[in-house]
Amino acid sequence: MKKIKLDINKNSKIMFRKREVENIVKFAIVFTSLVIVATFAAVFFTSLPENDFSELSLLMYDSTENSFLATNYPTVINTDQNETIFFMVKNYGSKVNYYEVRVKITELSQIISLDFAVPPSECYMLYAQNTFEKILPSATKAEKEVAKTIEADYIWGPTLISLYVNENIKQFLGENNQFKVVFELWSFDTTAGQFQYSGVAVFLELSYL
Amino acid sequence: MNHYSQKLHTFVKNTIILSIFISLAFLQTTQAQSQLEAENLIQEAQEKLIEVIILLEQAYLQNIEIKASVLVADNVLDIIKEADIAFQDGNYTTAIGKANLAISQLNELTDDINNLIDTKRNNKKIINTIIGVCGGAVLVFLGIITKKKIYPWYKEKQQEEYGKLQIIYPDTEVKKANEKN
Repeated sequence: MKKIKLDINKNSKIMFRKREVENIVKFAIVFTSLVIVATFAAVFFTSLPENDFSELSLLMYDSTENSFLATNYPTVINTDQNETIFFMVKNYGSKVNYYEVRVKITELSQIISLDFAVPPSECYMLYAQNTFEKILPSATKAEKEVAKTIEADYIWGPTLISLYVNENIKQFLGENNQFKVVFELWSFDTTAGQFQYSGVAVFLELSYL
Repeated sequence: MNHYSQKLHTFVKNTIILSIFISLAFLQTTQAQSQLEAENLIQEAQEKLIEVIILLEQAYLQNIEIKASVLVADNVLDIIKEADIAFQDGNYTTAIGKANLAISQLNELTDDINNLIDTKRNNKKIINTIIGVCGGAVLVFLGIITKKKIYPWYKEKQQEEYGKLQIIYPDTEVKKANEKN
């Protein structure tokens, strides 16, 4: 039996080093390629989270200017007279939304929260039978960039609403003649199968005479 | 004669009272039936509207243009509300008519949205098939290039690098040393 012994001279040492370097370079190329592919996949196949929200605002109609303004809100309601106000809803969400605006009269001390709606036991619902409902498409990217518009498919309103104080409301408020009118935005949750409070609400502080 | 006339009068009177009673009972039954029918139809319309909204959400996720469909759905919502108001006012015939109109419009809308989703799905299939075929063609092309050009080049380079490497056996080394001596 012949024994094979490699003569590891200078040249062969250099060659082994070369092979080591080649392996490192190969590994680096493969690793870099994987990182590049993963980055491209992440950019193309995942979308950045959109700024997803709904907007509810109250407006007053200015007949002299023929425009809607977010000022000059009423502070007093006469019991023999209605106060007209307009609300507007914008869908800046990422899906179709089926909205409902609920108008509630509650005590001045009632806390308005983003997390929960005013409980039915602590408020008097206006227009409980004839609710305000609307289905809105979401705003496109181009539409989102246009501010101060009141007419578009993704906008509901301005919608007129009459505020009033009747005997039932007086009875609910008791001796106190100051109160809050809360406008809550609810949207239909298709998985839950019912309207849910969106966390968007605006209110006016009023008193009646 | 008077006796017969009196009997006839009582008979007619009773018949009229009975007829009124039967008519009232019939009317009440019809009214109750209409109320029930209107209530069921309004509920059916509301359920269909929710189904349409779910479909619209699905379509939106697939980047389908649905604005027109959303506006139609919103119009149908108004019709359902009108039906509901008519129902609350006790106008059941109007409520039934409005609810039926809403249901038929929602059925049409459901078909339209489903068609849009199917079209989008088919288009996606075609695009994916084209991408698959093109990807396959590129892979085959790369395979051919590798076999015909890169592999021979690699072999040539390998030969250049390692072809000069010599294996020297120890006994040959001893022989050479002896020969020198």
